[in-house]
Amino acid sequence: MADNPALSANLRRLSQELSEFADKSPPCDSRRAANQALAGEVASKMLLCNARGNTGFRSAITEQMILSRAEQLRRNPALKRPSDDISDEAVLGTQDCVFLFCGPPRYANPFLLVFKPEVEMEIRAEEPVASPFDSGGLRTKMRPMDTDAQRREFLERHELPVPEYREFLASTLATLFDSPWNYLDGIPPDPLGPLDLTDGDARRWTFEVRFRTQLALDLHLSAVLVPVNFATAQAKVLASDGTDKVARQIVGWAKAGCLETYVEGDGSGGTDAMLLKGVEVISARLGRRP
Amino acid sequence: MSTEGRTSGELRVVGLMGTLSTENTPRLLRAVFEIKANPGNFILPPYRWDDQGRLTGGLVESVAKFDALVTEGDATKLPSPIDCQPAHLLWADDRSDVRYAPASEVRSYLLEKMRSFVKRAQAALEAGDPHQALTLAQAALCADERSINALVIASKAHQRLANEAGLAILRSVARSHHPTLDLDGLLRTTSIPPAAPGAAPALPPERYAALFDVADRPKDKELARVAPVFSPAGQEALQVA
Repeated sequence: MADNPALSANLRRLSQELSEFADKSPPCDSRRAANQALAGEVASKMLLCNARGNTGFRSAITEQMILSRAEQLRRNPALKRPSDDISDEAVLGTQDCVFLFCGPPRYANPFLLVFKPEVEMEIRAEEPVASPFDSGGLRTKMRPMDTDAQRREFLERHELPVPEYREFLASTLATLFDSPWNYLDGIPPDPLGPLDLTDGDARRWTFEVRFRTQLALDLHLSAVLVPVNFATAQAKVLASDGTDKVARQIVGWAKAGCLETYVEGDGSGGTDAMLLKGVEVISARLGRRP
Repeated sequence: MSTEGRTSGELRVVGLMGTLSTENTPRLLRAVFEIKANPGNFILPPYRWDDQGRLTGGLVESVAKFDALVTEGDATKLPSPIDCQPAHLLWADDRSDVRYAPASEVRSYLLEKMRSFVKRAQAALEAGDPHQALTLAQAALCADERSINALVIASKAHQRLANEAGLAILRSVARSHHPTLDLDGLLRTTSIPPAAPGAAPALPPERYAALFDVADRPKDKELARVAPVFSPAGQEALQVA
């Protein structure tokens, strides 16, 4: 079990609340037994994703680490912007965290780093924590909290130990989702469950794992998703500059079989291409049958 | 706030994800929308247009979040918003001018551009200029990321340059998008007509035609005349206040 008593207490309380909710909600109660085995398997194997923009992706390759915003600023104070003091992360006290979704990407950035669950088992000075929602959405998108103090308090009450949170994820997948695969496919839980959150998008019910300060890229990286024309552009860079660090890394990932590319497109005519590819890659690694 | 089921009439286009350069255009762009009824609330990808022409699934973000993306170089703000219209696409031409036009015309235009770039890339390779061939094949891949012809020509150019690392990346792309394409087989059994006497024999004509089917299409003059909504020359207008 986890060493942190507060996190363990949160896990027990949330598990109890979910169980009581399911007992009183006929669809949850009836699907629980049928979903249990698959939910346990999906929850235990679910991969973790970090979506990055162009700058953040290049920076992660250069540093060979994903750095928290606070760590970026410690290393280079010139990066500081006025918005850093009022960002969601600053207000919630999570500015020194590296954020990963447990499951597919729920953010707009075009580059995706996909980690195996084993990354959670790495020994580190400060343990990561999980929450059953994306903490960044608490401030502006999810209700019903009125003040930042209430939001911080809400977050603290929902922080869970890692990797033990996966037990709660399994219960959530078994009871709140018609099929555990719905979580992966972005189909919302029905009913929403006992968590006192409304509004927002898929980030309201997508689990998050927060690592303290930094996360090394060579730790259990399973896949890297980039747009096709970014990948081909890196190949072109290498034709004139064989030392380019980003391009060399892309080659390294290609040779290791973990580079995945997608056609960026425009969002018309179906599911967003990056999201679709992210789900496809995770599904394949979870052994989901087409 | 949910983004479920917003019609184009409820939205305006205020920006795009990523930045523009002549290195990554022409291409379709992922638009950023503002909700007309809630000014300052932007919808970012991943979203999709459903069969009823409604935008679903996007992320609703604040002006501050969008401005941070612009500052980071992960998004670009248009100098002035455009009213969203059904079945229209935001795209950039090969000078990186941003335009907004009916989807069918845009797709047709980009297909034509891809074919034109492929043809020119092929000619550059035949003329013994693999670097220029790569530049043109990359432009073709921007116009249509699924273009097999562009991928094959780029691979041939890398082969000509002995750029094995670049080829490794293209093999990965081929595996992802054209699982039945035997890229290495093609590279072994076909060749672009050599630049120098005595080099490998040219591709047999029947295979050459199949690989590089780049017949010209009539240019879509109407679309080309659509005024850009944003030109890189006006980039200074995009600074975040």
